[in-house]
Amino acid sequence: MTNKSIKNQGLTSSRRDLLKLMGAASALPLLGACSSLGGSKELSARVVVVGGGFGGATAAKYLKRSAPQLDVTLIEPNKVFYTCPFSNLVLAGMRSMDSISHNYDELRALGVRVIHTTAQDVDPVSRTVSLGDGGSVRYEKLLLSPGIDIRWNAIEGYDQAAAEHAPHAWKAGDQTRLLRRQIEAMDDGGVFVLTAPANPFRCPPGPYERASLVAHYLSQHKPRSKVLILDAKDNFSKQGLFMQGWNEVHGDRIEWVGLSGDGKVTRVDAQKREVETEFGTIHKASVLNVVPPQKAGFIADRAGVTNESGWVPVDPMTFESTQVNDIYVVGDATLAAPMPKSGFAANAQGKVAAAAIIASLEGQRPLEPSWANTCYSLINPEYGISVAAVYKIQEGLISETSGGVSATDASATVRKLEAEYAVGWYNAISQDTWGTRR
Amino acid sequence: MIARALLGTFLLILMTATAVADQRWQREDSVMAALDGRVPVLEGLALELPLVAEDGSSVNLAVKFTGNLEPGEHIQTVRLFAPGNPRPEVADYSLSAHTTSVDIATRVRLSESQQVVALAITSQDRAFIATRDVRVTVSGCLVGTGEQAAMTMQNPRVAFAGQASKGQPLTVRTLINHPMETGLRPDGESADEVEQQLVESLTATLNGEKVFSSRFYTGTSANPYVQFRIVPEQTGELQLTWQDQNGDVVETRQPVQF
Amino acid sequence: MNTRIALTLALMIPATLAFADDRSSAQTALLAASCANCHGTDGKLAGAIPAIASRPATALESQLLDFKHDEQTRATVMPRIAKGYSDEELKALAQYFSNIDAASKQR
Ligand SMILES: Cc1cc2nc3c(=O)[nH]c(=O)nc-3n(C[C@H](O)[C@H](O)[C@H](O)COP(=O)(O)OP(=O)(O)OC[C@H]3O[C@@H](n4cnc5c(N)ncnc54)[C@H](O)[C@@H]3O)c2cc1C
Repeated sequence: MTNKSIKNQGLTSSRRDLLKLMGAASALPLLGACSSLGGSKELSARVVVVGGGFGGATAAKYLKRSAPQLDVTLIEPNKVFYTCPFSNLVLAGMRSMDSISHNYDELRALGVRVIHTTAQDVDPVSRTVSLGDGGSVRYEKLLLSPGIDIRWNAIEGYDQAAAEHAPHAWKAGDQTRLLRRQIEAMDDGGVFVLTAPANPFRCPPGPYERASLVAHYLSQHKPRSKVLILDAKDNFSKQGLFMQGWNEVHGDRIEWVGLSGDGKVTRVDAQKREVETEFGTIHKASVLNVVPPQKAGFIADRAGVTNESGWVPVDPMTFESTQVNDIYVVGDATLAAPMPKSGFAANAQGKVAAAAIIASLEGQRPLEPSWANTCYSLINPEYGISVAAVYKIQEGLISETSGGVSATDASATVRKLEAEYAVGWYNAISQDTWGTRR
Repeated sequence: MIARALLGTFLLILMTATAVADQRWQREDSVMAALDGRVPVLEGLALELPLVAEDGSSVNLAVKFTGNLEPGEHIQTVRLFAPGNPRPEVADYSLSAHTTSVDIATRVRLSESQQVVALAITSQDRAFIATRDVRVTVSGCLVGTGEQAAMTMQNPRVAFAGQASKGQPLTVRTLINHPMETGLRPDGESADEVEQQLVESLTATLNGEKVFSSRFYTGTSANPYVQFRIVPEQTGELQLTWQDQNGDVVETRQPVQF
Repeated sequence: MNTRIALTLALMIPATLAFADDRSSAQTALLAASCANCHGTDGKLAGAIPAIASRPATALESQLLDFKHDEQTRATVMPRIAKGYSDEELKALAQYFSNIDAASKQR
């Protein structure tokens, strides 16, 4: 019964696509498609985007500016989006929450219909997304960019209630504010303990940038305090550069304990601000920041696009789910290694998926995709490091065609330049994603 | 009619293709030598590895046995192979007759994307096999260090997961710091490889009786980690003995209390 | 099912040919979309990182090639990025950004 209805649905919709295609083909609009990812002026279809973060907002924008007749609906519960990028600067008192906030006015002005509610469920048979406000929307193409959800209790004792005492602050917003308050209230001489998860997780260099900037804040305001990183890995992003930077700037203020040094945390007592490691060592914290194991945002599960890993496998050419037709998934929720789970990557994937959706609606082959990524991290406000790469498809898989990290022997001038570029990048991606200009 | 016949042929081709794909191990000399003519059972042994490993130098691996054994039969050895590595051997584990449930975990090195193979041989000389494909990438945000570690064994650690109780399987975790130099890694300065230096074995005895042992090869990650099960029948002491290829020995003990 | 495929093919062939020009410009637009992450949408945002829209194609191209061949001393990430593209792709990118009107108000 269900199978049959899926099939029928597929057939009718492809008939509809064909009709549309005929219309598109007869119109043959030869517009100067300079910044268009290929959409013709007449292309009209309902595309629903779930999630107004880096991946979703970018996809909605590029869909609309490439094919203005598309009916693009963006579902996002929050009226104000706070970025994780630069939230570490907020923790260190270098920036305000306001400076990392974005709204959806520019996307609305572009013609994107923005609905502030949560997508609760997806029915790929009737192509319907049911919404938290009781309504529902139908789609011809659905794009999900729901980011991450925390795997509660993956570390014993770390559940939602525990996060009120030992914040993760791995989604920006109230958690960022809470952690900032705790850092400010910390006694001089205290220990800021950060626990880092195994791969894969959102923003591979994120925990280490956070440790750096918290150490920077402590050096100025609570100079007897320390930072301890307990890590479930032996290797981490830009490790050599971070360690070098810590040596040069933070001395022994930052201590890092890796997996083989018994750094993997297996139990958290958030009330007592205490953690226990794999081999039974207990660490007491003044402020405890648990960066927990993660998975794709729950809506990906509801849509049936996740696999056993908890993440979403996608066709690298299009970022369409390999499990359910006409659902495209981008950003942190996907399995897109070697691309990292970064805002930059989510934005780049959003554009590739937008182009693929347009190509598919026009009955064309997808364009040849390529992506770039640059992750800046700050050791302190004047000391920036980066990792950058370009990705293309090779032998059917996403592969790095070039890339690397900042030079280890770079001068202080170059480190400072990279710190300035980090700000330039933040402003540019904010403008490119939400249209925010500061 | 025709459509159905076509579909049938298609399915047949598909099935043959998967069957062939799953038996790539038949072309691996190391695996075939270990099987030594036994025809392995394809179900019952489970191999858990991530589909994508973002750091090939340390990939979590677990082997579990959930198949059916004859009365009195037990798993004697479990062997791991990474045929895509320059040397395929990863580790061999020997289990005691008391260990009814196999649940071993370790961290392995994978130099490239490949199909990892686990074999289990029983006391009645039967073999079970499990395979798993892993894609190895070095994530764009992940570039490791080349830090020099001491060439000797240091900081042996041991812990039980949960409370021991009589006759119940108890999970033991153990780790020792050691670089596990493969002898295959080029030295930064000279044209030669860094000399091989491996931890060779781990032996676990409970009140003097051997309950588990392990032999390590180049496919085991630096800082060898092993998780295995014992079934204590009485209180006492678990003793772990690590030995490196030079014959040096490090011991550590953990009391077993109910 | 067979009719469906046939129909699709029949429709796709003329469509693809007719769109060939658009398709290659869409292809360049997709390649260029990666640049917007640091240079703003259409390369128009000027800040710590310079705008690239409306700059002369020859200047952009030679700069990209210099990055690619490590002939830019004060460069940071660009040499690592430029190496990921063929010379033809870099040329197409330079052409693309030079044709964008930096003053246009498009969002
Ligand atoms: C501390 C920190 C620092 C970071 N620094 C950087 C950096 O410097 N550079 C960089 O590139 N990346 C950085 N990142 C990573 C970056 O934040 C993520 O990779 C990025 O947010 C991923 O984008 P996304 O679209 O997948 O998810 P998100 O940006 O998280 O967006 C997901 C959106 O979906 C919404 N949503 C979820 N479920 C639903 C639903 N069911 N219905 C409707 N809406 C839903 C959420 O409300 C959210 O707005 C950092 C991350 C952290 C934690």
